[in-house]
Amino acid sequence: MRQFARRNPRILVGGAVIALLLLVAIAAPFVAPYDPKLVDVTNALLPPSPAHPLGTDDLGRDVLSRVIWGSRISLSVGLIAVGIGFFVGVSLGLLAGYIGGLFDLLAMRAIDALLAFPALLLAISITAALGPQIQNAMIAIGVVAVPAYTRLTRGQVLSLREREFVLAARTIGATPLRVVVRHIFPNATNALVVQATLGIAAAILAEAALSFLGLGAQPPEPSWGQDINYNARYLSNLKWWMSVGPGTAIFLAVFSFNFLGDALRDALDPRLRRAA
Amino acid sequence: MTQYILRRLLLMIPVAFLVSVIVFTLLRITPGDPVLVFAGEERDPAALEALRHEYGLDQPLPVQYVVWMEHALRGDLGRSLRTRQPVTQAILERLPKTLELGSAALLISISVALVVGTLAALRRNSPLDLIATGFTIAGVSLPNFYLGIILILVFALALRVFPPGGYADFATEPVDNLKRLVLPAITLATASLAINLRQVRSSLLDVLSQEYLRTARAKGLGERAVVLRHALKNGLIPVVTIFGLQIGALLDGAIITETIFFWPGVGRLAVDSIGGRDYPVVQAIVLMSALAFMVSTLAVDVLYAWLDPRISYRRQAG
Amino acid sequence: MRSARYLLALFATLAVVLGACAGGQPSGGGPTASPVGAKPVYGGTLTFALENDVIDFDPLRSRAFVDRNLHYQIYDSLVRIDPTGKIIPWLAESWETSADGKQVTFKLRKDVKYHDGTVFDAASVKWNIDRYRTTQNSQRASDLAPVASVDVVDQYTARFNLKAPFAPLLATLVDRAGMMLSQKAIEAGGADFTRKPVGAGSGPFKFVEAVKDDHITIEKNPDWWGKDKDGNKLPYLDKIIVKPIVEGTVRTTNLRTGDAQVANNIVGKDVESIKSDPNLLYQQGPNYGFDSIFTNRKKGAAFEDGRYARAVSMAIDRKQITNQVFYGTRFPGYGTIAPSHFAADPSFKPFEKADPAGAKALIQQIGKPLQFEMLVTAGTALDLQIAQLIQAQLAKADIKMDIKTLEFAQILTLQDTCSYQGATLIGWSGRVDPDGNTYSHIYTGAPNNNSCYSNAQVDKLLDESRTTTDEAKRKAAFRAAEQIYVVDDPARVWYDFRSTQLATAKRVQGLVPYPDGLIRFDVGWLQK
Repeated sequence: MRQFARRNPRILVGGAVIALLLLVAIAAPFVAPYDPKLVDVTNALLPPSPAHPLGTDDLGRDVLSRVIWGSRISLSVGLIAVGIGFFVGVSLGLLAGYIGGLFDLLAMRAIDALLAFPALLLAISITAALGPQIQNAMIAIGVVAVPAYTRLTRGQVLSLREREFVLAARTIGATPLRVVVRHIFPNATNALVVQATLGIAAAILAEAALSFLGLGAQPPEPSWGQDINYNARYLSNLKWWMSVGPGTAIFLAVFSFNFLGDALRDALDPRLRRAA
Repeated sequence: MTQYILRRLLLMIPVAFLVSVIVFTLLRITPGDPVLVFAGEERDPAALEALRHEYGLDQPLPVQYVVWMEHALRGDLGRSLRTRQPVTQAILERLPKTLELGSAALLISISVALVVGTLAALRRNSPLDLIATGFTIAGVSLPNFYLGIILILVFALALRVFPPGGYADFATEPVDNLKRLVLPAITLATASLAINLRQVRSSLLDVLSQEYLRTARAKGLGERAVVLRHALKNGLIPVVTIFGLQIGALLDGAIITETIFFWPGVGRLAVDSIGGRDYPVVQAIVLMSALAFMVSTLAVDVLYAWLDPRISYRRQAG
Repeated sequence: MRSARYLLALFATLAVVLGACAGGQPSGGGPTASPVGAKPVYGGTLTFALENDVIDFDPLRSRAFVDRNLHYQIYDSLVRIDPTGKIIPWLAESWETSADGKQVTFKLRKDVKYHDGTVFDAASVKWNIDRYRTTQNSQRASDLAPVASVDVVDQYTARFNLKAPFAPLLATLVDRAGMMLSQKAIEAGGADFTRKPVGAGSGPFKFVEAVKDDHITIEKNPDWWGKDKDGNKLPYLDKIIVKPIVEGTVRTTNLRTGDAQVANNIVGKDVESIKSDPNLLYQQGPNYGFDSIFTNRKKGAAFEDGRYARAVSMAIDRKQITNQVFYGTRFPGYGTIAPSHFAADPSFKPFEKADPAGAKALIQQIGKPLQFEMLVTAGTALDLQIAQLIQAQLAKADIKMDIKTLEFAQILTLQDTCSYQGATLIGWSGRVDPDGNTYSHIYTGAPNNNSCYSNAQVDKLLDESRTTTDEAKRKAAFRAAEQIYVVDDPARVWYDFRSTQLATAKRVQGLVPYPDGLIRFDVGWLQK
């Protein structure tokens, strides 16, 4: 492990930054200088100062505190949405690849249909249909992510299905489920780990976009995308700080996951490894 | 090859059908009565009922779907519930604006990616390469709405170089049109630029290390000729795929970009119509973009096979 | 006395008065406005940044408030209001109500032609009113429900026969239900008429073209009947280009960059930047519109006991809302009758000072603490600001308000059936007669009564306000009702009255704010 890290310093760096982000999210009550929901109109729209390093919004709430608390929503949406996409997508891919036949045909047409949808439009429609709440945004982002996992897993299964160790397992009488779970899935994990890491980055972005369109967290809960949407109208009055705080936070979080995913891809997925 | 294309075209039919069912169902289970949205402050129950009847919303859902499908197959996508404008007309009015924005963004993305990507690959580990590699990750990590906001803040509000948003007709105000195009086009281009840049750079690096280039160099060809005649030509094959697939992603980016910059395109129409429960408009946009996506995917695959004779589609399963 | 000349003189005078009262006129450098009352000049094109695109040019179909901004330029109605809200002659030169209140007879102008050349007369009035009343999808049918028939007495006299006396009739005829259109033009327009009303109006401007979500062009009607106080023909302007710009801040930006010369509905936070711009003029006048909170009074809902609604009314700090959110462009409000309505009682300020302690005591008296859910349209920053501010204010009275964001369409549906748990935010653009602001909101079972309020005494008073034509009696009935549905047994919580805002380039002259929020461009002109 240590050697692995030494050989891949980028993974170490990316991992460390993400660990820090997670720590901030968990420790939000202790790290944030103010209550993120505390309305104090006498201190509204204050520019950054030592008392409020990122200024205050139009209800006098501390922007830094809201950014810190907002990390909870973004990170949890990223992880849970990817979890949904991963679980559904991988199961479907394993089944389609292994069972084949009509099931495969139908499942893949459904996946094609999902892929043919403009992703954001699909996420918006699903969230609207289920109600504009954060749980539903998670589901929507997860559903949109399903095709990527399904295709990846199915491809791996197809290429592994006829390989000797799988055939061997089958001849000694392993049940199909056992073959899939024990022999095929582990061999597909590397590509999936890369996809999932990059997927978290994409999910955080998608959550921010949905929140920006008003389909995310419930105010007054702090949420990066929503807070940008809420504060952006003051840009024309050159009050920029309330938008820049959460915007930079989104960028940092997404960047860290993309950075880590990129490093993991180079380390784990030899087929994708380019001379980088 | 022809057989392959035909097969793919046939496969589009069930997929398009599925897409239409999904979007229809999604919209109809979405709570909220369109008639109430369009009624505004005029809420007389009799008038609302008359509207509902006029729009056919009092029919059972399967009937509504069949009626819609029947008309759609004949090329009639219905009328907007909100404006009574024919949907085809509503979309055609906005499509050129989205296409203008999209092509400008693609142009920026492709040209910058080709130039910078090539240079970065040729001068590996130079400062330019490091910046370019950093950008390939940063560019996809920047939410386009945030990038748009920053651009507006800096270039429109603080420096006042470009207008903060809106659209001007190219026919009557060409200069104004282009001025208003710059910021949204950059916003829309950034993410795809990052992807393209990465692809150009890595494909070129791949190719540059291959045998035949060494042979070409050994033959005494100049480096410039090696790059232009051999490396670029072969290295760009995977790049074509990535470029082609971005046409599908265009509408997605346009949704946000058009919203921020008040660009009256199809993306904004889609979002507004979902919010306003303007069923026929949403159905038409989704169906059309799904078809456009499938056709462009097919075009990419065909182009790919044509560029690279090693690929054969004969045995591949759909 | 009721001549157009008098009316225009009045306009001009009021323009001076209001212009002077509007305040906020910036001092300092830059070109200054010519002295108000300078001699108008003809010509020029003006760009008007409008808050949304017009959906229906046909008054029969029109549902959106924004449509009226164009209706008022293209069409004439039988009567209009002056900038104080008083009903004045327009296409009808005079009118008379019979003793039993069931017949209203209008004497019409004789010099009016539609843009397509057809003549306006009593037959045209009858045709229009019948069209509004009887067309299947008419949005005006309920406005004109009290009308039983229209008779053509002679070529220029039309008589409305009412089912019962209906005091707000004239006010109804000010707006879309009283707009007169050319039969020929409507029939020629067919299904597309509502988007292309070519030649249909008789108003100061003619419809030229409308490109969806892009622009609308109207041009001067050189044959309009209106004249200014010196007898010069109106309108002065050659052409008006209307650009729909939904985002308030962008409208302001357009004004400041000179891309537009007129804008209404300015976002509170942007007013200061307009006032301090030496090239711009900001005017603000009274408006009939209000903003309120629906408190669901239906059985089983959070506000079934009206005292809870009163507690909320007591606990909120209206002044803080109008200052913090609206920057003084709206004013604390307590009910449906706006300050510029004839029935307004200036001393009616039941919740002038926020009283969280009183609210707390009232809730203690009821016994069960108040917790409710406030539905807010997802993604609307201004509504969210109001809701979060109110949430904080109510917390001081130990009232727990949870915000739940939903899409607009969903909130409307829940409202329409009173099936929301607690409350929603609801605004109203305002009507000329207090009846239009009250009856459909308060009367049992009325379409905009989305708090499912029902109070027999209030219903009786509101009926009375409709059937009596005596203004003093109407006033008394309205005031008595308001005391009940605002304080004693509250239907909902009102928190502000709106204002009419009008921001223009300084070289735009003659325009004044009207309490209905609509601009009359016929008297506007551009300084050379």
